[in-house]
Amino acid sequence: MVCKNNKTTISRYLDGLLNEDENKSIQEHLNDCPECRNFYEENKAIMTLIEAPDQVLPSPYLYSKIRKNIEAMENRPAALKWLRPVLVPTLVALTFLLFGLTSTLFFRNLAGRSGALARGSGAELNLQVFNDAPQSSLAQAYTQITGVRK
Amino acid sequence: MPDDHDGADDRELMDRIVNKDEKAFRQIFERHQNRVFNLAYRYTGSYHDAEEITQDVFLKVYKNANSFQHGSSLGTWLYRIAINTAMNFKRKKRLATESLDQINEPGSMRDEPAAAITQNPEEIYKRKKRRELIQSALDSLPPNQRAAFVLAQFEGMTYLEISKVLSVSIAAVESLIYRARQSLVVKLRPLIDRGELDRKF
Repeated sequence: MVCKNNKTTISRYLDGLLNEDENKSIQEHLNDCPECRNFYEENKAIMTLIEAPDQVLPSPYLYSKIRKNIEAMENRPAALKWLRPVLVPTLVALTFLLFGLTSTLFFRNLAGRSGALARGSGAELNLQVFNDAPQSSLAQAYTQITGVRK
Repeated sequence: MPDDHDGADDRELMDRIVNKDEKAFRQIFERHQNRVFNLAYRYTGSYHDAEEITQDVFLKVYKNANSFQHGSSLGTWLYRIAINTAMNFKRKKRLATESLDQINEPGSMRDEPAAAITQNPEEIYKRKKRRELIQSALDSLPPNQRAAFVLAQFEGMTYLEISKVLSVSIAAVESLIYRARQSLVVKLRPLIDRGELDRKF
């Protein structure tokens, strides 16, 4: 187990962030503490293992590709340039409007049907399911309230 | 240090780019393309991805030249755009191709360089496996940790420079690098234990 407070100090030591006194102190500690020494060596090993890969040269055609992109960007029809900030909010607004209209019509239609059902008699709908409802049952209460009879 | 080309010239060129001066843009590209490309290459581990990122970075430079502030360094500004573009690129790519195996992607660091022809097949295979392991360990780091680690380890930037590029405090940079290194120690312990430190990534 590495001494708790020394982990970050060792890391700072590896990155050359300590002053002279701190360097000396941590070096002494590393000589005396095998766990911290191990922690130090593993971290140092990572820095050695993952060296920067050799510099690579980009393709000589890279600039012409970028130029093409810039030309495409600049030659985009002027109408599209100003349409985009207008078109997107308009489409969003239209979607909301359409959704609002559809739901209003749907609920109005539903309300109309429920109203017809509430207003209409059981006879109209040929609703005779509660004819033989037992005394004091919910079904009997329903027949009294709505007037559904034999 | 990203500032060796900075100075009045770069700033003057940026002013000219604002006015769509193609020559100025070409000069900025010629001066900085290698750094941007290599940063992207080291971050992604892929030649092809690095090219796409570099294109994107210079397109952004062209489009946003007017947002470059003269008080700041062009190098830092470019690095910031490059690292953010690379992080976004990797994020999008990971989402798009999470399940695809990219190990054998052409032009990737995972491929063997031409010099490897002189090595024996077993050595080539071991080297390839080692690279895959290292790249996979780097890929598994969270984007910010990876960016800080790449800038410190591969670009040799100081914590102060990294803090400017990533727009975070120096303490945050220290913490990001510390955590990145601890994750890498855990993931690459088999390589450390096998004593494979004499070979380069």
